[in-house]
Amino acid sequence: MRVWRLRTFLAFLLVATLLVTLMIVGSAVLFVRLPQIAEENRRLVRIEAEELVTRMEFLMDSLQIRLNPLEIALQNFLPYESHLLLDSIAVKGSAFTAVYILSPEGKVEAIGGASIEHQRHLDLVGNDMSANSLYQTVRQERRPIWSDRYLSVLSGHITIGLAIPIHDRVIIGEIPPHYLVRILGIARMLRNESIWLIDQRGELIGDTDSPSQVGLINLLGLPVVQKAVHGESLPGIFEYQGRRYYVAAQHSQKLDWYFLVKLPAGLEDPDIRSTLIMVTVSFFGPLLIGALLAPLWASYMARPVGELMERARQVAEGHSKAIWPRSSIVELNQLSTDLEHMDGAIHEREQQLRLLNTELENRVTQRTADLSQANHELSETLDTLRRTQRELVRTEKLAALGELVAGIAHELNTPIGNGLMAASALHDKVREFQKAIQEGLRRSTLDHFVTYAETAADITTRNLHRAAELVTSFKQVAVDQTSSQRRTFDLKEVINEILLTLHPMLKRTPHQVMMEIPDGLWLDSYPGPLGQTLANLINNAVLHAFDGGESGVIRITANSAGEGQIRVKVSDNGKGIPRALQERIFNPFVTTKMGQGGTGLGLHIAHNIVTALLGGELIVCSDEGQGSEFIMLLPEQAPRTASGTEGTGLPPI
Amino acid sequence: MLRLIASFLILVLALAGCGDSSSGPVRIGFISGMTGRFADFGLPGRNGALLAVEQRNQAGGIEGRPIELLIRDDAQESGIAIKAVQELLGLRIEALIGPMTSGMVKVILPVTEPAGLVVISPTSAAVEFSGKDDRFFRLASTMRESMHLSATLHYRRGLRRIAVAYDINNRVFSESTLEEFRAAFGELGGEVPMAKSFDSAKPPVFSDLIQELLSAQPDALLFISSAVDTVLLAQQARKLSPGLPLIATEWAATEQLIELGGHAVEGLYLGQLFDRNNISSRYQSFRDAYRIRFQQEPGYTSVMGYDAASVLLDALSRRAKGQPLKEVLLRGSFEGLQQTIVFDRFGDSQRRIFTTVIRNGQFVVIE
Repeated sequence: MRVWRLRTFLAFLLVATLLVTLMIVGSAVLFVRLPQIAEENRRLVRIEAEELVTRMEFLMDSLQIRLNPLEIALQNFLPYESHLLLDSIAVKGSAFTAVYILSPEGKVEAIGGASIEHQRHLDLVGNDMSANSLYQTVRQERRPIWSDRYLSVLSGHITIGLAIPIHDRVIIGEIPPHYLVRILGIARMLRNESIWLIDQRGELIGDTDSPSQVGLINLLGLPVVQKAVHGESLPGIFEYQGRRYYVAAQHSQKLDWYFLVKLPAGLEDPDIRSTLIMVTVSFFGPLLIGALLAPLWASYMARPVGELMERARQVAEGHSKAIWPRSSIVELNQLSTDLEHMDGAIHEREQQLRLLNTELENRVTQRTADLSQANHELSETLDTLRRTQRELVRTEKLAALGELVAGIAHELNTPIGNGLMAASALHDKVREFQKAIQEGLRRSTLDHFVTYAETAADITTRNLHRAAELVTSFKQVAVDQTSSQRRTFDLKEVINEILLTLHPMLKRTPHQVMMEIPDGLWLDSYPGPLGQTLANLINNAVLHAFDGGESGVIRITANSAGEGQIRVKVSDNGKGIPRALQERIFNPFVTTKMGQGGTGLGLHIAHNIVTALLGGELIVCSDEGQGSEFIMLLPEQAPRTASGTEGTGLPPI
Repeated sequence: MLRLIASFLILVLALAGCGDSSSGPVRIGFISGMTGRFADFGLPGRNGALLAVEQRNQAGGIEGRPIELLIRDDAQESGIAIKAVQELLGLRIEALIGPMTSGMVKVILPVTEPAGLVVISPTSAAVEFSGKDDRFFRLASTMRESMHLSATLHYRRGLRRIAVAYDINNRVFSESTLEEFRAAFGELGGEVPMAKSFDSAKPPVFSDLIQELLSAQPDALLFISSAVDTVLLAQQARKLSPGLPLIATEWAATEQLIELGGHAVEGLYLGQLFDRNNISSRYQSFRDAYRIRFQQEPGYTSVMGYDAASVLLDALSRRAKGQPLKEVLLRGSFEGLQQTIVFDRFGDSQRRIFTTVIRNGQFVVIE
């Protein structure tokens, strides 16, 4: 959540309130007032168009009236005599640049104009104008005609031509287009109005906004002009060159011209603009004042709170016994009084707490000393325990060696006993044979002796061979076990030798050990520790897997696990290991037969050898009642570590 | 009203935005004298070009973009013409149609050439601009061909001495035309005994001018001038020497010549760059559209203006992205109202010339 200072918050609150109020009021004004203005302007532009036509027709009529004296003159003078009168009508600064009389044949009879020198009078008089379209039209219609595309005979410029028939003659006056623009300027009534004067061909003949466009552009391409020319109703607003206008059109019957009155619409409309400016000013003005005043007001409001905060901070920092501030706000005064009381109470409690604290500190010191004493004792005990554990491991190993020796002795006993027996029996036979020689040797006796001696020698030789074999393999085992030498060996051979040493122990149990190991599983590892591990696992099975009396099977299998690893499995079909025990079975001193000969170190040592020395893994899988499986995953190449050369082959515990 | 408030809010909040020129309208400039003495020449030209643009816009514009014709008046004055062209260049027009007179062409080319602007003049015929490899194109043949035709015709009619009045307000055109006529007529055995210049910007007393020409005892008079001046000259000639054969040039061949001249121009010979009686459906449908749109008959500059605009619009439509317009114009052939238009490598084209004589207030084509 965003956190604010009180002053900022109050200032923001004041400004936001002002802003929302102004926006609502401003929008309301715009929504009500703008459509009113637009409607009013539409009405205004319609009325103006109608009135403009009347005014323009009146002004153009007044031009026509100026030619009236000619009618009287023509009745009294010959046409060529009236050129002074013509000059006076087309005097400099008047509407007409030239006025001339055409004969019934269409020839110029007299001409007057401020810019025509006397010589050129002669040039023009007698010129044939019979093919002129204005002349032809006025001869046909016999009424005054206005033309907006009249080519001046004097200049060739396009001018406004006024033709009036008088009896069988025609008077033509030429009016420059800019004069029309001037009249439009006079005739228009509205402040921002602009007027297009357009003929029936769409040519622009008058434009109050840009007179330079007159005579250049043809506006019939604009849909609004087309509608006006065809007498259709106009859209209220139209757009021209990116600006929007209210528009109305009116046709003058008399002049055959179209008057298009335009008033700027949208933002160009001064009424709308002034309304918008007013709304904008009345929006931003108060907002500006509000933005200036709000922080002042907010800080005035926030000051007593600030003082209270300052005082409270002093109390918090421990400076007490100062006067609590008072302000003009009732609630704040109440707060101040309450805080004063609280200050007193806090002060009192602080004293008590300080006392308690001292006491507590003393107690903590005492306890710390006690704990440190206990800790010291505990670490000593732990040291003792570690020593004891090492002792036990050594003892275990000695015990294993003892058993080994016992086993060797037992195995040797049979062949040597047999040999001895055969030798002593032969000895008896020799003595019998010596006696027979003295009594006189019979051939049958000699034959019998030789046969017997042969048999005895055979028995003795075989048994001694057997003993020699045993000694050789025991020697290997003993060397392996005692020296932890690393060498390359065949797994099957080593396990065979180990089983041989275990044979005497196993013979005393009803259990059977079966070995299924293929030939050619070679390892470069430590056969001694491997043997000890196997012995421990078999020993563990014999001791723990079976209840008394039942005869179980312990199976040793091995195969290649791929990726340079060999899997050796020692399984039994005993009662299994409870799950709870499985989790800590490799921990030291875990045994179910404490006090019955189990040290709880056998599996721990096995695990240590496999993981630390042989570089493999030892895991246990067992379901209760389904037997157990100890699986060793051994690398074919044991890792070369310094510990491999140590006498015991046991990693430190 | 919502729109107003929205625009007000937009105005209050931000003032940003810029237009994309490639999706806006295709802008084409048009310049010609539409006020002043040569307005009869310029205005129908404007009408022709405007009609072509309006028709093309109704047919969907150029690749969906509307065409905007920006019209400017040169008032036959150098300063105004240069200002107008610079203004049009500022508005980034694709090309310029006009000016109609050779005098104005000479004035604006030094502005348009450095800017790389293609200029197509519908009517300029002065020999001076031919055979130049620039961005100036024109639809009319040079006066060399026209004057050769004219000289041959009048020589055959038995005329041997032809006096000339020429307007130096359009000097590039009139002087070269005079020289072409003098050469062609001289070669045949004819003679120009007198050639008097005048400046239509400061009109002289025409009766004095005609009287002077008559003093050379010519068989006929040749007026190298606009319609208005030709009429004024013809009026004096008719008063001072009725029956003297009169000859004019294409420059005077506007509809206003007959309207202003009346009987004075009866029997006047002059060349035309189009046939008013052409019966091809292409021309007839143009004529109908023109009459409806402008409520008058199309004149020769209307046809030339329409052709110039059509050529330009066709070229703009055919142009591949990034291809110079000049290249498109030089390579293609374009259908005009009465003939196919092909530019040579200098941007000049050949226009058929119809010699006409005014009889009973009508232009009559002489075979």
